[in-house]
Amino acid sequence: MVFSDGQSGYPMAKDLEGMLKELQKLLGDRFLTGEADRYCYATDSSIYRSMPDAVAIPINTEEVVKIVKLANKYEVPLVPRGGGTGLCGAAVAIHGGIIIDMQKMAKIKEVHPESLYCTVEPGVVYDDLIRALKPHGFTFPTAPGSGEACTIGGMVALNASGMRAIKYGATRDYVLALEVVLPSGEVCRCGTHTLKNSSGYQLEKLFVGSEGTLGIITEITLKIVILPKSRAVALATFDSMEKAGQTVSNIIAKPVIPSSMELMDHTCIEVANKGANAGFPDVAGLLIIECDGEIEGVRREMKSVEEVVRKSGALNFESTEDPKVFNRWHDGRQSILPALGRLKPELKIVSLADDMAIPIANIGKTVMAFDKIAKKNNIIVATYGHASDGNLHTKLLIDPTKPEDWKRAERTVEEIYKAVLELDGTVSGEHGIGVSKAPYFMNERRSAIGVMKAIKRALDPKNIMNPGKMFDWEKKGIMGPLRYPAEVE
Amino acid sequence: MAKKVDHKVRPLKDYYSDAMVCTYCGFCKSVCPTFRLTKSDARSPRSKVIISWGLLSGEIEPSEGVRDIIYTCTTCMDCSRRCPSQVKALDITMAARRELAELGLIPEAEKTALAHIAKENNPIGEPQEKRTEFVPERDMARVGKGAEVLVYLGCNTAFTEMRITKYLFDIMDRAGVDYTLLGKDEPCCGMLNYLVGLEVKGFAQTMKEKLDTLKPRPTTVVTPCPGCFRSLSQNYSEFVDLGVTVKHTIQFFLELMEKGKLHVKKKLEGKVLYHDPCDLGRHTGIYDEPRKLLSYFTKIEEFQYNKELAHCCGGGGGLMAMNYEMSVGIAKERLLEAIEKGADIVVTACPSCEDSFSAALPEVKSQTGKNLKIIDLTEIIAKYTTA
Repeated sequence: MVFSDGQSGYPMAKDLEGMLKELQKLLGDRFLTGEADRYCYATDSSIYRSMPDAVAIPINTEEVVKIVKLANKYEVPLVPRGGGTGLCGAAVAIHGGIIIDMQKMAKIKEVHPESLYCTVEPGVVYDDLIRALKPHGFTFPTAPGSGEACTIGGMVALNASGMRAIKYGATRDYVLALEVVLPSGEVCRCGTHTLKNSSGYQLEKLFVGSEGTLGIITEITLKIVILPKSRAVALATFDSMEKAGQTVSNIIAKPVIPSSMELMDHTCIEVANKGANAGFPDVAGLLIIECDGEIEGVRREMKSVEEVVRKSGALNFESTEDPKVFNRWHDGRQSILPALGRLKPELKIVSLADDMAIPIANIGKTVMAFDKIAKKNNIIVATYGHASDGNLHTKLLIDPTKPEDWKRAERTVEEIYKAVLELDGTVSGEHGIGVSKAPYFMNERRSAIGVMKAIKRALDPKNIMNPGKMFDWEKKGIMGPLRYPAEVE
Repeated sequence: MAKKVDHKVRPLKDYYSDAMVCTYCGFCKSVCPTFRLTKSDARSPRSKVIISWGLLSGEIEPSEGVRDIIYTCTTCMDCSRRCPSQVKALDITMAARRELAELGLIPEAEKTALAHIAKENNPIGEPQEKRTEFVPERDMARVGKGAEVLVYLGCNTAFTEMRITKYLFDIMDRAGVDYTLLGKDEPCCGMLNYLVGLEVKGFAQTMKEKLDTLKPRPTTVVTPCPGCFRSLSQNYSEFVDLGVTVKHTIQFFLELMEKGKLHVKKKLEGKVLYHDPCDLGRHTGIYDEPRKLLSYFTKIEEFQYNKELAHCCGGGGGLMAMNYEMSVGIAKERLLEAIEKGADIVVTACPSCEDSFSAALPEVKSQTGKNLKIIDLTEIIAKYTTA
């Protein structure tokens, strides 16, 4: 664990004490400096832990402006944070500074079904927004797996999405307008409440995925869509992951666009059956395919899906419109993570190489490459994910108390991302970069890093916004201040 | 039937591995009453696991700040239910409480109540002589006599919940139950000590000894307090076998109805929602009996979050003594859920739930203009049945 002690080699706060005093005056009991409180905010859902110097909890844009202006004056790093569910360390104060907890800014300000948009504060939890939109017959369909805990602000900051991206896209596709407090303390309102917009630079899209490095998002206007009326789900089994992967491309090429196609490898099937009695067939790989919309269309699509699946050499195909059955399959899919965590007492799931996207046609090859890498490094790599949009998740199981396991994991991650790039993919489909993907991201976007840095310098010359993340991560590897009891160089 | 839940408080070091299994996904936040109200990560179950890890790894020291995080919890156990990684956040929290309690890092409000328990044998601080103050004169002769059934009132019911106490005796007498009472000899069950993280072996042994003094020895203990019910039926089992069947009054009253000892006199009017107390629900699995009992008098409607998923009233875990405002805030949220469902009456079966709800009611009324009623199921049985 790293404390904000100036040892990290990063330029530290110029006058931290001055900043803390002024923030205390501004926020009162919404400003936390006690060790225990700060420790709660020292980590997110990533592998890292680093103590912030304080936690500020604003309740409106005006307070955010004041905080940012103070940070500018005293040159103190600011790290904006939503639900703290990020997997790559974007909300960890790697270089100390002040965590800005946005969760109290959680108003759903407007819902306009007639104009297809809603406006919310960044601290609104995804599932709360879905519940609020439902009575209107609308939804924000990006469906992140962390929906019950992640905030809309965090989703925008990371361009998050989920299993239905093939049909509905990711967060960036829905952001119509943003209010952002820039690193200078100025408030920038970008975008519009209209569905179309050719009015100059679309800055609102630039802030999506900026991971808190360009400013603090204080208001979001999102496009909304009609809630699908019905859905059907199918389970397709295969004797190889390659065939399962190829089937995904075959379905799309048909052409059919299901609302999701979830892929699970044999390890995932085994642990879901063992840990959650999911009742999946004991096969090399399977797909859970979902179609949604008007019932006639859903049935038509499912018929086409079945045709392709059978032609692609599936062992079996079974579809249902019974919510009880597809909830059981869905629960089986959801149980992968907990079941993996209990596979062997000494092994724990660590969030490394958690997320990558590849062209859909390369899924089969990618999965085979991962399998080879896992065997070579003698490490359990479970692969599953949103195959329909080429987004895969891998989970590495290691003993996090052993430095040698971390080294092996880091080697595995390196090889995984090398394979991803060779197969024309990207290091992140929906989780963002933060720290745990930074070196591979810099390798992947070599020719664009200079432009990104220029934008960053133009907006944040003092580098107060979330320093040390993305292209600002200075180490070659990804071993930073771990939240596990192992010292790894 | 009550389910058997392992409530043993283990040393924090036993959770070293579990604290690492936690992926910090934050799903527990979405169901946690203190997080939902405060929206502060420092008030979430995840933070309790994080802090516990800090203590285990030595990265942080026990302190008042640690205490405030670990004790700001209603112990409703919804976090443990929700965890996708099957990490029992409440068990870890209780283990951390044990660690802190051993160091004397207990919230001030709880210290006062614990001192009362040590001195007066109840957390309220009333002299033990007053324990029979609300026992009807006609039933005083039962005190200390042997009988099949022992009615164990518990401190809240004996000293503060006069309404429930009166109704409880009315029902038992109406149904012609042969029961006994411990009167001034009735001991505290030690639930508060348990919640704070202290051992309750002494309380368990005392309870056994008191039962031994009754001749003939009761075979059943009936109590109206879900906290006492948990103590006697589950927490004590680690230390002693009381040698009795422990029942919550709701279970016992249902048996009386089913045996024809009580009959429905009139029906309850209005839209009625049943609130599952955490101690009776997630902690002991009693979901069907109260619904079955209540259905004699009305058609029950459900909260959106009911049974295993029920949201807490805010009164548990010692939170009310430590942070009254937070407790009432949580109760208010639960009552607003009832109003959203169009309820006229919220029925519960726990004195603590009734307390928290009653405290929140004025604010709910001023915010919504609705005249919601809070009734304990015991009161309904008393008022709506005949022998």
